[in-house]
Amino acid sequence: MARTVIDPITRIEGHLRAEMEVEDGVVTDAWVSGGCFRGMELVVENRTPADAAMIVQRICGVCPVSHCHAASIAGEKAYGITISNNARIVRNLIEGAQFLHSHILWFYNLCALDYVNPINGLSADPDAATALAAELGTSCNSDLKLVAERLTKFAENKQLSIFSGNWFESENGKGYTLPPEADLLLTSHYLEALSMQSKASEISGLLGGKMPHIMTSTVGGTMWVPTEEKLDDLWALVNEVYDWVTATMLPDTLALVPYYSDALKWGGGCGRYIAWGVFDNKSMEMNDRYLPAGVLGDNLKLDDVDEGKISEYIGHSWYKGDSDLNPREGVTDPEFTEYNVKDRYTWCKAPSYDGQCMEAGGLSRLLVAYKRNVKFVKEQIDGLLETLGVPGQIEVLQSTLGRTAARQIESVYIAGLMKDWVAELIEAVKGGDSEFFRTPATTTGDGTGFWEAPRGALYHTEHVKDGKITGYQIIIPSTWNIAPLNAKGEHGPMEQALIGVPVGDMEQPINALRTVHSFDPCTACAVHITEPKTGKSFSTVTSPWGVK
Amino acid sequence: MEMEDTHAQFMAMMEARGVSRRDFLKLCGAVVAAAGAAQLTVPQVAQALEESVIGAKEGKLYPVIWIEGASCTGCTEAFAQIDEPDPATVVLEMISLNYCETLSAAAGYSMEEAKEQTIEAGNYILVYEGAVLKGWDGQALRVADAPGTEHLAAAAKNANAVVALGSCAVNGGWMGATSKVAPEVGAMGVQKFLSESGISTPVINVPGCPPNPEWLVSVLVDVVLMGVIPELNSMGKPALIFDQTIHDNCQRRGHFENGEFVYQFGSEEEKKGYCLYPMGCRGPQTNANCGVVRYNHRRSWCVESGAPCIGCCEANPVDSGQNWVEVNTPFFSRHRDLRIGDWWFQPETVCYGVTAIVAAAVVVHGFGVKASGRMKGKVKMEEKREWDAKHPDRAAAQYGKDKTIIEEDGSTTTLSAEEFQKKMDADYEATVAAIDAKKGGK
Amino acid sequence: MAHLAHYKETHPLPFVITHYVNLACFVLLIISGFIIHFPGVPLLSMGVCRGVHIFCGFVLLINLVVRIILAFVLKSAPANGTRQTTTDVKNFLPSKDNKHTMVEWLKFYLFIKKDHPLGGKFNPLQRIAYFLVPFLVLFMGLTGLALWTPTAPAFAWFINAVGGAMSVRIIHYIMMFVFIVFIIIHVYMAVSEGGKPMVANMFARKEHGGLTYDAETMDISGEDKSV
Repeated sequence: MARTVIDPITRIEGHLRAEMEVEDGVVTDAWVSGGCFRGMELVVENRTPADAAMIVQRICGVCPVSHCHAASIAGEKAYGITISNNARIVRNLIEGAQFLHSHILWFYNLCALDYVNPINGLSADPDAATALAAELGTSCNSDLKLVAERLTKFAENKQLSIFSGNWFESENGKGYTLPPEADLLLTSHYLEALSMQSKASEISGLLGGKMPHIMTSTVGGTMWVPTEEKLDDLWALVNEVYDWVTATMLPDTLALVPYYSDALKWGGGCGRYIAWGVFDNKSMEMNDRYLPAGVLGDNLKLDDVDEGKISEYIGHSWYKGDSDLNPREGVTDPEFTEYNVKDRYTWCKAPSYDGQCMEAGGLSRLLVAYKRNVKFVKEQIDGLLETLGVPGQIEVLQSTLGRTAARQIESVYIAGLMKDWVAELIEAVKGGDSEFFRTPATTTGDGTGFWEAPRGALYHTEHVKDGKITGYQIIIPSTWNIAPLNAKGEHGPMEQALIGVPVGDMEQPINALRTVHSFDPCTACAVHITEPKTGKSFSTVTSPWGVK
Repeated sequence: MEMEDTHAQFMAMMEARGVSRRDFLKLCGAVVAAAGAAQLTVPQVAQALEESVIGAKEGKLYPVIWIEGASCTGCTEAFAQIDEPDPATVVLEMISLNYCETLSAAAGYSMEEAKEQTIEAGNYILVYEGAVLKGWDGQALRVADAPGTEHLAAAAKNANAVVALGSCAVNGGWMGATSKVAPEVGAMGVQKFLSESGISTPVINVPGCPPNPEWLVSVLVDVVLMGVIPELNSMGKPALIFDQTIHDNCQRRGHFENGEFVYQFGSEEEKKGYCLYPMGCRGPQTNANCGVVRYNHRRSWCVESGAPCIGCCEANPVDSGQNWVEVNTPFFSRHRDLRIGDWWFQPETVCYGVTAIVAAAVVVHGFGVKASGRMKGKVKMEEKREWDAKHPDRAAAQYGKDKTIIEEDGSTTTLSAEEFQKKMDADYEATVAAIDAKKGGK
Repeated sequence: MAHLAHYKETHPLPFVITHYVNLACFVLLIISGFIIHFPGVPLLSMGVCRGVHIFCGFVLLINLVVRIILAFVLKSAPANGTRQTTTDVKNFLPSKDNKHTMVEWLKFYLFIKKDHPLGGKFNPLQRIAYFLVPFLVLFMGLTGLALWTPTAPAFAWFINAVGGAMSVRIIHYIMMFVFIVFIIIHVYMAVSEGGKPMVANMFARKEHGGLTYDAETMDISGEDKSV
C-alpha cells in the first residue's frame, strides 16, 4: 500500500489536490481536496440581483456566462418575470458559444496533453500524418510540415515552456501510446484549437461585450440589440466554428480509442447523474430545454428535479459543524483546521440529492437527454455505440474515456443548434419583434436559477427584499463532482471514479490525472460558502434560531 | 510491445461486449497502420531534460512563471483569447511559460519542480493572477500542501518583475468587497503583500476583470523584447494604458455630448448605439483604454455590445477596500451605495432627505416668525448682551454712552442712554399696539 | 424700530457684485449639474450643460479669488447701522463683538429668547457659515476639476486620497446639496431677518434708516431717521 498525491492538479480551473491509496497498481481509496476559499455568496448580499449577475461570473473565468444566466434566472423568478423570445435566443447563443469555447479548450488544450505527446510528434512523417487525418476522417487544416518545423525549432531551443515537467515519459515511457503521426496531427489540432476556442469566444464577445465575464445578460433579458452588421458577423462566426467542431472533435476522440482503450474500463464514478437543463426552448420549461433537466438514479432511472432533495454536508470540509442541510437552510462558518483525510480535507462541501452523491457534467446532460429522447443526442449516442460495436450499451460511456467523448457529442449538437438559433433570431427580427428586455414588476421575492455550466448542473438561489439580496446560495457542478465523503461516508463521484484506476507510476499517476480531467473540474467555482436562511450572524456556529 | 499489450487489453474488453476484431479494425485500422512508425524523441530535448525538467535554463525564450492565486482563471482565459500573436506563438516563440496551472503539461510534484528550477535559474518574470489571501494564515488558498502566500513570496523574491494581472491581483478584487466573511478571507493585492513581506521586486499592476490580453502582451513586449519596465503611474499601472478613461475613447462619446442617451436596456436608443451614461456607465471614472484595444480579437467591447461599463479596472493597489465591486455597486445606478453599519443606501437618499428636512424646518420656522410678528417689528433690541449683563466687570462693549438721533432733516438730537432706552421701549409698545390694532381690525 | 439701519457701507458695491456673480453661478451650476446627473432635457444637451457647468465653475472660482483679495483690500462696515468701516476680512473672523453671543442667537432663532440680540453685521453663526463658504467652494472646485480631468497626474493624489473617482463624484454630488441647503437657509434668513430693508439694500442699493451702531463701543449709538 502506498500513497500518491497530485497537487496541484493542472490544466483545470482553480486549485485541486488528489490523494490516492494505491495497492497492487490500482487506486483503492481517494480523497479530492479543493484548495481555495473565497466567499462569493456573502459578497453579493446587500447588492442588487442585477449586480449579482455581474459579480457571480467572477466565480469562474471559464464558465462566467452560465453563472450570469443562472443568477439572472434566479433574479427573474424572484421578480416574477420571464424573458422575451429574443432575449432567450441571444442568451442561448452566448451560452452555446461559451459551451463550445469551453469544450474545445478543455478537450484540446487541457485534456489532450494527457493523451498526446507533442514532443513525440517531432519524429513523425508529416505526409503520413496528413494521410492519417484523411483515414481517420478528421480535419487537417494545417500544413503539418510547417507544424513539424515549428515544433522542431521550438525543441532546438531546448526551453520547454508549457511542456516543462511533463509526464510524457510516465510509466517508463508506456504512459503515452499514440504513434508519432497521430501525435503530430493532434498537436496541430492543439494549436488550431487554441485559435478555435478564441473564435468561439469571439461569438460571446460579439454578443456579450467581452469574454470571459460577459456584460449584456441581466435580470430581465439582454442589453444586446441586434443590428444587421452584427447579425452577419454572428452568422459567419457561428458557421466557422460549426465547421471546425463537426469536422474535428468527434473523429479526434475516436482516434484516441484504440490507444487508450482501457480508459473505457475505469473511471466510472458513482453512476448517478443530475442535470438541471440548459438552452431554453420557447416553452421556457426545464424539462423541455434543448438539453433537458432530469435526475438519473441507480440503473439510470429518470426522475424530475425536486429542489427540496438537495442537501450539503460539511463534516469533512473546513467549516464548523457537520450538518447536512438544504442549502437554503445550511449553517456555515469557515474554519481551517488541518489537512487530514480522516477528518477534514477540503474547502469543498459534499452536496447530495436525496442523500446520495451525484455526478454532474456533459455526460450527465447527455444521459438525461438520451433518456428524455432528445432526437439528435439519441441518434448520436446510438451511432457511437454502434461504431464501437456495443449497440444500446450506454454504460460504456460511464468511464474516463466515455466521459471525455460525451462532451464532443455535445459540442456537435450545440454547434448545430447555434446555427438554428441564428436563423431563428434573424427570423424574429425580420418579423418585427424588438423586445429584448422586460422590467420587473416587483422587487421582493425568492428565486432559483437551475441551469448548466459546461461542467454540469448549476444552481443559484436568492432571497430579494426591496431590490437587495438578503441571501444567496450557489451549488456548482464541480462541487458535486469533487465532493468529499458525504454524511453516509460515501465517497464523492470523482473519488469513486479514481478508485480502481490503474497506477503504473507512483510519481506520475497519469491515469488518475486522465480521470480527474475527464470531469473537467473547476474548483474555482466549487468552493464557496452558504449562510443561514435567516441571513443573520455569519460568525456564530449556530444561528440564533438554532440549527434546524 | 507495450502497444500490443494495450491493444490486446482493449480487444479483450470489446470482445467481452460483443465486438469482433474485424469490426474494430474496420473502425481504426488506419490508426493501427500508422502506429508502426518508430518512436523517437529529438535528442536535444532528451539531453536538455537530463539537466532539468524545464529543459535549457537559458535560450531565446524569456522564462515566465504564471501563478494562480485566489483566481477564477479568467485572466488566463482572457490571455488565451489573444490573437497576433496568438497564444501558441506567445508560449512557443516569445516566452518559456515554465509554470502555468492552466496550460502546463505537467502536474503535481513535477509542476512544482519546474517552478523551483525556474526560480533557481533566475532571470524570469512572475505573472500572478488572483487575489492574495491571508485568511487562516494563508490556508484559505492551499497549493501543493502549502499556503498560497508562501508560493507567491518564494517566486516573487527572485523575479525580475512581478506582473499583478487582473483586479484581484492588484488589490484583492471582489474578495475585498464588504461582506461578513471578507475580514476572515483577508484578500489583498500583490504589491501590498510583497511590501508587507519586505520583498522589493518591482510590481507592474495590470487591473481589469479580466484584463485585456493586449495589456499583458504589451507589458511582455516591454520586459521581454525591450528589456525595460513600462512607465508606471502613481498606482504602479502602465501609464500609457491606464492614464486615460474609458470615456475619453468611447465610441459613444459623441452621443454623450449630443445628449442622446439610453434610458432602458434593449430599447430603440440602445439599438441606435446611444450613450449608456444614464444606465450607470462607469466610463467617465474608470481608467483604461478598452474602447481602443477592445476584446476578443477586437470584435467588440462592453459598451459597444450595449452594456454600460461597470468599472472593473478600478483597483487601488494599497487599499483592498477600494476595489471595483465595492466602488461601483449598484452598477446600474450613477452612484455606489454608501454604508452606515448594515444600512446600505444611495447618496441621493440622504441628500434629498436632509434637504427636505431643512426645507420643512424653514417653512415651520417661517410660520413661527409670522406668529411672533418679528418681521413686522414686534421685537425689541436687547439692552445689553446677555453675557455682558451677567459679567458687567468683563463686558466687551461699553454701554451707557449718550445716543444721537438723526432726524429726517439731518439735524441731530442727543439723549442719555436711559432716555433713549425709554424712547425705544415706547416705540416698541407703539409698534405692538399698531400691529395688534391692525389684527383686531381685520 | 428694532432693526439696525441699512447703509451701503455694510455691503459695498464690489461685494454686492461678487455676491450676485456667486448667485448666478450657483443657480446655473445646480441646474446644469442636475441635468448632467439626470440627462435628457430637450435642447439642453450634455455638451451645452457641461460647457455651462465648467464655465460657471471657473467663474465661481475666479470670483472667489477676487472676493478673497478684495476682502483684504477693501473696507466694509462691521455693522449694519454704521458708516464706520474696517478691513472687510475682519468681519468674517471671530471678533470681540461676537464673544459669548452664539447661544443667545441660537435661542433667539429658536424662539426661546424674545429680545433681539445685540451685535454687528454678522452674528457668530453667520461668521461660521460665511467663513466656511470659500473652503467649501474651493473643495467643490477641486472635486469638480478632478472629475473634469480625471487622469491628470496633478489630481491623482486627491482622487486616491478620497478613495477613487467614484468617491470624488459622490462628494461633488453631496456638496451640491450642502450648497443647496446653505442657499435655502441663507435666502430664508436674509428675507425673514433682514426683511425688506436688507433686500432693498442688496438689490437696489437703497439705504434704510433705523438704529445706529457704534463699532467701537459695540452698542447702539442712536437712531437714524434721515434715510
